[in-house]
Amino acid sequence: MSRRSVQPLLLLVFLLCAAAFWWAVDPAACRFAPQCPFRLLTGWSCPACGLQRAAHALLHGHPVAALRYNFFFLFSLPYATGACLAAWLPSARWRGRLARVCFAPWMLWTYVALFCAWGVVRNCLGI
Amino acid sequence: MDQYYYVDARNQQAGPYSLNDLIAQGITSSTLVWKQGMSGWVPAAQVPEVAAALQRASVPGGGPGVPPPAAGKPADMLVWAILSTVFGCQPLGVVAIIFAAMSRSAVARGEMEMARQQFKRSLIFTIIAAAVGIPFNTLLLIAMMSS
Repeated sequence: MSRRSVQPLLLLVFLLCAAAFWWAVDPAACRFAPQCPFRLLTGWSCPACGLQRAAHALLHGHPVAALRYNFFFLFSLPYATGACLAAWLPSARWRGRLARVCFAPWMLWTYVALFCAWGVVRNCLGI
Repeated sequence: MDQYYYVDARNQQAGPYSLNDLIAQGITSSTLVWKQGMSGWVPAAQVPEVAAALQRASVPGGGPGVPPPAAGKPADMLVWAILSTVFGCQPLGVVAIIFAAMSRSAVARGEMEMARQQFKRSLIFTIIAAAVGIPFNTLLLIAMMSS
C-alpha cells in the first residue's frame, strides 16, 4: 500500500477510537482524560483547548455547546478537512485544485496568524 | 526560444545556449546567468524558468512534465503538522507550518534550493512534534490513571 492510502487510514482509525473514547467519557468530569500540557504548565488555555469537551458535547447532540468550548473550530476543522482532502484525494485533479488553496503560502500564514490570535484573545477574554 | 549566457568557473562569459543546453553545461542554482531583456547577471535560482529546469534535471528520471516536488510529496507531512495543531496543543506544529509556508513562498519565487532547505526544516519540526507530543501525552495519561 502506498503512503497516500496508509496515512488517511491511520487518521480514520485514530479518529474512530477518539470518538468512541470521547462519547463514553465526559472529559470535564473524568480525571483519566488527557490533559493539555500547555495548560498544565502555564495555566493558560492553548488555542486547541476545549477539543475533548467539544467532542463529547457534539457526540451527544449539542453542537452549540460544542462550539462554545472553542470557537476556533469554526475555521480550523473545515481547514483541516480541506488539507486532508488536498493531500489524500484519489483524483489528482481535485487534489491539485484544493492544494492550490489549502497549501498556498498566504493560506498557511493566515492559519498561523489566526491560531496565535485566537490563543491570545481567548486567554484575555477567558473563553 | 530565449538565448542564455552564464559565467563559468573561470569567470568567463559563456553562451549563447538554449535553456536545455544551458542546463546541460552543468550550471548550479548559484551560477550567474543572463538573457536578453534582463538588467544584469543573477543567480540561476532567481530566473524562474531556469530554476524550474534545474529542478527537473536534479530529479532522477525527471524531465519535462514532471511536477515540482512541492506539488505532491510535502503535502502529506504538512497535513500532519496542521492536524497536530487542531487536535492538540503543538507549538512545534505551528513552527512546522511556518517553515512550510516559507518553503512554498520560495517555490513561487523560483528559489528551489531555499525551498528544499525550508521544507527539510518543516519536516524536522513535524517529526519532533510527533516524537515529543505522542509519548508526552501517553505518559501524562498513564500518570493520571495511576495517581
